Amino acid sequence: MKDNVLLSVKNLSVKFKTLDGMNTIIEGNSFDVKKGEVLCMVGESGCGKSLTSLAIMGLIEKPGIAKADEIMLDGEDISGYSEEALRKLRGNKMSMIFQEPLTSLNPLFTIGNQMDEVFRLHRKMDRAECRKNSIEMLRFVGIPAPESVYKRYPVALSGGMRQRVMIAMALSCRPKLLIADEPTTALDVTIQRQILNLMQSLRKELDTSIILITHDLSVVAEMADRVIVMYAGQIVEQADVRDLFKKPLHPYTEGLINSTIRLGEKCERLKTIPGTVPNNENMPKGCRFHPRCPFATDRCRNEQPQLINVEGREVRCFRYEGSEN
Amino acid sequence: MAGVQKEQEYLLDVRNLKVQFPVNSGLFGMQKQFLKAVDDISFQIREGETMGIVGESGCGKSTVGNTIIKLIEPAAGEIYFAGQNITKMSQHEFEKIRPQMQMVFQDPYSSLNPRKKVFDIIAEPYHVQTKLSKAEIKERVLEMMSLVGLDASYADRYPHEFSGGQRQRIGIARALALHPKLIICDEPVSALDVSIQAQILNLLKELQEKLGLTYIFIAHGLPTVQYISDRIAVMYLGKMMEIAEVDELFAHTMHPYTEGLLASIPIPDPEQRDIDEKPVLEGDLPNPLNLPKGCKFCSRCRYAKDICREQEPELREVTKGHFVCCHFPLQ
Repeated sequence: MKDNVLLSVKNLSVKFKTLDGMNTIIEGNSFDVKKGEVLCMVGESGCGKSLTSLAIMGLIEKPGIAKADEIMLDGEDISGYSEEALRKLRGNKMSMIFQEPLTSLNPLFTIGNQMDEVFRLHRKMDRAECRKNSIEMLRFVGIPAPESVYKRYPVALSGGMRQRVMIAMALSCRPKLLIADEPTTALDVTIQRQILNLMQSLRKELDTSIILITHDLSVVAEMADRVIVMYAGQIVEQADVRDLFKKPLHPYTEGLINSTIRLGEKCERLKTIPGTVPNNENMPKGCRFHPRCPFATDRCRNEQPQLINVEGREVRCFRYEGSEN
Repeated sequence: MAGVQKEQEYLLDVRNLKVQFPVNSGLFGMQKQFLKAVDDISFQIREGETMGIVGESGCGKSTVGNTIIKLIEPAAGEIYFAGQNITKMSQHEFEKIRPQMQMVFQDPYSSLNPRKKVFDIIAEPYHVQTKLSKAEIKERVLEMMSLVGLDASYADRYPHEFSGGQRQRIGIARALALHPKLIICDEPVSALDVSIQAQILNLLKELQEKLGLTYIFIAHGLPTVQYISDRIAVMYLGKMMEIAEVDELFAHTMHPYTEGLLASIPIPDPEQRDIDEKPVLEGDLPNPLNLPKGCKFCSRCRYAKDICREQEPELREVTKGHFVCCHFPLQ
């Protein structure tokens, strides 16, 4: 493993047991997260971006099964860890924030109560220390009057404040890896801006690696260092954010970028990707994108393309065969 | 105000509309308070035009839409549709006009009856409002389906068999069934994936050109709204803050809230990040039951002066067709 890599996932698959047998949702995905970088995973609903993050955290529950050859986090392979060992890591070395902060916070306990837990479990602090540290964290994420918020219940806070509390909680033990699953999707634009700015400044301060999962390409453009584009459970493209927007290689990435509306730009018709995302039980043969792809050939209909290296990036498309390096 | 002739120019004329919801508070809910969801707003829409209404959650944009089709009774004000005052009408009288205004909802999963087949969903308006024969209804339903790009073979399927985008097409076909003049689209694409959003937006534009429809397009995302609208109204806590033509709104933003809203939107171009420091709107929406005195936006406004905290500004026309509700419009 290279020195600057924090997380290295090799051949990750997630399957679900259904009445009709095993249903493979994610197939053989491998990727790295470098130290201190923001890696964005982007794709439409059902593409497996959230499942990938849950699999890293070891949060896939039955009837789901996550399998990987290797998940190296900061030098240790956590792929075979027991639930107990994973618990020691979660909230400590790696932590996660979710889309809907109201459902991720326990409504019956005060903010302080829930924040203290992190310090009590992972740092074995006593009550006074927990309180001091929790309030310090709340202040750190820009919550005004943290002493009073500490005593309140989640319902008394607005959506933006709750998400700040979630971020404070996730960062309490200075994790090496923070996974943010659509952290701003449920928020209003002005609040989204506040949270995005907060994440940017925290990342500079703490040097935490962030996996940011989103469906919004504008958020990707503002936040990411590198981008993974997922489609129907597979990684279809992986590139530096500037390269990706300048010259998308995969037709799906291109379609996504083209169908994003730019503010203040007038056009008669939006460019669209025809058709819809395929159903998991009914995956097309060959390349999974071929029914929606303008460049599809007979080969695409029959044979599945592999991820290939092109100009320092990865793409899953036959069109770039021969230009690999 | 203007005479009868002027009213005819507009398909929809909303005047000083107020909507209030009673909220019980205090010990045992004894104290009655009113939440002013829509507070004295006026706007007009011409035939064939698309008016976008944007704002953050809780600003009253959906309430405006629901009040126009009389799902909610207003506390004060008038709504004229094609010259007729619909606020004074009884439900019975209103039912005759109702076919001319239809609604497309946000969530295509909950706005379609899961026990009905697509055919019956689209046929229902005909059963309620017309006396057409079975054969005539069938012909019309199939016509509507092809209009929105649904294959005729889908008529016998149930909503759960469709993806979000296709469901939204069913919802649109149902709204179009009675040849309405006005369609109120309440966040029609927010629940859809990016690539599907573009398909539905294009469809709505095509239908407008083909059928001469008038839209009220309610959404929280400015990029979507600016794509489809001719004019945009920006709402904040039940008030119209700014109304202008799309190009004018972007070129000469006058209200500090609109400025903040525009600056908040992430730009889908990595080359443009970090170029300039964007003015962030600090703080949260104030509690709608306990609004600041004076301008409703003053608690988050970076230009606020003493007068803003004392006196509430009125919506006024600053340049032709550009209305703003601010003591100190930006230039």
